[in-house]
Amino acid sequence: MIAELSHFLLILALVIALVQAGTGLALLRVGGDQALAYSLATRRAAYGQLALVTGAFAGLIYLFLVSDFSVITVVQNSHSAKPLIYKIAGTWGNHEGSLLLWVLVLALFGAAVARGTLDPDSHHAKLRDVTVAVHGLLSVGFLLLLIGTSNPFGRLAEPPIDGQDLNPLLQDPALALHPPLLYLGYVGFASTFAFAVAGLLLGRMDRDWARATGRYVLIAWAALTVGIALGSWWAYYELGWGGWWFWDPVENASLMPWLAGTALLHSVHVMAKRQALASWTILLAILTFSLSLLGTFLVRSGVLTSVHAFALDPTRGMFILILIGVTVTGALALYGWRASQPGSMPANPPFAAISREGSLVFNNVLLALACAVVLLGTLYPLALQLLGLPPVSVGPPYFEATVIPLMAPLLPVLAIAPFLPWRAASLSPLMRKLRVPALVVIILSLIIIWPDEPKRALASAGFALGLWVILGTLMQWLERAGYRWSGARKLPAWQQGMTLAHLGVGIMVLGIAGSAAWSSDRILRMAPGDSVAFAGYQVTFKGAAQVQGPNYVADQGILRAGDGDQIILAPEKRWYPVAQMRTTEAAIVFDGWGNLYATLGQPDEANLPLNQPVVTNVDPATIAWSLHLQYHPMIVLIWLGSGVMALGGVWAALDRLFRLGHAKSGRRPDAQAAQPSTATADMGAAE
Amino acid sequence: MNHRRLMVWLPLALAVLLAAGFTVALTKPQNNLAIMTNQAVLLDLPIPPFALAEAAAEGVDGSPHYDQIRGLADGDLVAGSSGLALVNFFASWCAPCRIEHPFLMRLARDASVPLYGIAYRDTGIKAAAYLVDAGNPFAQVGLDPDGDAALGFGITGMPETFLIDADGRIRFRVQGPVSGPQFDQLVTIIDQLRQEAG
Repeated sequence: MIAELSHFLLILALVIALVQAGTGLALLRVGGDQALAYSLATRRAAYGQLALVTGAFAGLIYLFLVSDFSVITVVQNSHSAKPLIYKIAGTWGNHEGSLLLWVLVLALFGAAVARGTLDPDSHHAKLRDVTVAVHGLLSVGFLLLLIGTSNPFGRLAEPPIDGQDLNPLLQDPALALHPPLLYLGYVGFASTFAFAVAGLLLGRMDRDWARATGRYVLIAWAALTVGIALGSWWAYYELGWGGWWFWDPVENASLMPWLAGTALLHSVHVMAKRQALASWTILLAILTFSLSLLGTFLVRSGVLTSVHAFALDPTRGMFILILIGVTVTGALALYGWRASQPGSMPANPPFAAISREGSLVFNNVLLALACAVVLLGTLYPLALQLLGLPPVSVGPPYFEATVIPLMAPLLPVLAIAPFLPWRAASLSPLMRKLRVPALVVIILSLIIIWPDEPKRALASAGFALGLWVILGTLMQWLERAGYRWSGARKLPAWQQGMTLAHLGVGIMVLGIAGSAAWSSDRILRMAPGDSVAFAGYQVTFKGAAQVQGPNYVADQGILRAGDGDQIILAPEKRWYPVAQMRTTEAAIVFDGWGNLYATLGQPDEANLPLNQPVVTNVDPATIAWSLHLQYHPMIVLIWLGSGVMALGGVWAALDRLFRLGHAKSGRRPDAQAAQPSTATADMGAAE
Repeated sequence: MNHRRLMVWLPLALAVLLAAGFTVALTKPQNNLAIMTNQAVLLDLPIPPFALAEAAAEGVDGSPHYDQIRGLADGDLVAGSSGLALVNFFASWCAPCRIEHPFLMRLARDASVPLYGIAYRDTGIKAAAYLVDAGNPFAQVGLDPDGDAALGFGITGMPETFLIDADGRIRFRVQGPVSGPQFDQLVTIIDQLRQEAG
């Protein structure tokens, strides 16, 4: 009953989405009193859609909670013995459910754009309503995909007594949160895409467009940052390899929209402040969402081969391809049509190479190049196979050799750029200001890294760059604050957010460089009672035993380390009988400086009868195991830095700059609509 | 201005090109790009080409076990008198493989269905030691240290077994160990196909 009702809610949502798109797009033609009615209809449709999709999603969660094994999705992804949180997470741990989550987040952003009181005749209101309409169009497409080819509420004629369990690798707290956050990012860029298409349709792409869009860019970017960081953290401790980034196609798929989105949030800033780079910013907004679509859907359509891929039948893959194709080429055709009309885009105010604009163009060029390089590396194996050449796997060597040289030059500029005035700047006063931090960075780097080992030059350079970013950013913030607390508190939210995000970048770079320079790594065979000196610890292996989890059995090794053996490491190898899968659970202990990381390898065959399951009647106290010990100093800074970056993004999103023409903001909306440039020009001058 | 007008169409042109490439990739007949994780998708498709190394290539030449693993390529598969052959993915580190092993040994006694083994993400010495101790049901074994063959077959977990006919097409697939009901089902299917062929 709940399944059928939820299914029906989705169909209703599709109808409402059609209304939302229709009435909103009609606003391109109608005006006056009629326009008011159309506007209201569009916005109310957006709220209604949110309510309907929320209802359907709640229905699916309920089906997972009560383990209704007459529903195919539940059978394939749940099990009655699974812990409660993973029953809920199972809702979006599969193709159908995650697509429903996608539609829900899309509806959420659509309703968020629709909200707010604006003068209905103003350009802001028109931009908002047409954007909501484009949201409606996107919802139509994805609801058709959901209802037509991926119905999460399909029933089974003969329900089995129990389910097939969620992929055990996905039964993890970080990964339960990872998809919702990632989707918040991906779909947030759907809003900026909708703004871009609406701007192109209305033919008005000025600084007010950028101000209306900016908040969504920042929110989406912050969510995507945290989502990627959680995914990386999960890979770090769940895959048991001790790495935090693997250049897997699925990871690249989330990195590409992040790189494009990072470029976008900087170019939107230039556009909001100076009305420059309009054409590029609009294009970037379209491309960022296109890459998000590529990320979520092409990876799982079976086109790109990855071990993470969800299984898909060819019809569904084709449908997804057509949906993405129509969305992306439609928007790009609109862009081509509008941008090729002379005078359609605001003229770029002139600026010198060394200026705030110049530095942000540098940022955009490098980020876009890095994004293109990742795209190339991800699609290259596919292209080779299309040409009938033998398949190759493009791995970390390619990405490390191409992406790092493109990203590294951003760092020295990142510390300087916020000091530069708009239009034109001179470097010499800046050089004087930055003499002290530069000196501090050089001395610190020499002290910290040089005596260690000269061959780690790359890591020391990275370390120096991280310090430079942190010191430069702090200097810049102090100077803007006039070295006074009262001044610091008065800084606009976007300044505070930028400072925080840039500090986050510095922290992350320190983590990357530090963990690369000082990690230690050892694979060894240990019998119970064996002890080894590792990374300043005396590590003793106490033996392995079999333990029983709620829906798995595991071999659990016990290691003790530190003075008085107070650190206990319990790495596991788990066996999930229902899903027929083995997983590795690394044991990780943070000692305030780095992570002590242990994984359990194989039992020593010499002591084990081979025709028996692992660890049987042999006394476990006598079995030796191979163990992988690692120590990763400062690696937590990578995730801490990501979190600080995301926090900065959210803080910046609160800026008044993005609060456009609302009655609450204190300015008269019509005055602003008539003279959009003066209203922001004084904000720009105020800094 | 003309130059600029052309430039603004460039993103569209690239997107169309990409879309065309993806369409070809998705519709190309017998593409083995798509991961075949679904039984219905997999059935009656030819097995993907593969060529796997022998254990000796790994430099364990001195071991008395190395001739257990002499390498395996798709061309090496020969159907038995029943017109069928089995390909089994196994590994020395895989616990359920040990559960299904006696059943594989039982199947191997029926010489009309030869078994071929692929040691997934394993080392030659470990896989060979496993086969020496537990018994070797396979006519021929290859090493798949990087999981290339497993990717082509669309392996979702270990172990997996594929029933292949004389044309090299997959007729049945067992995900997980061939034991208990799966074993009975596999034997039934083998008998059916044998009667169809005979």
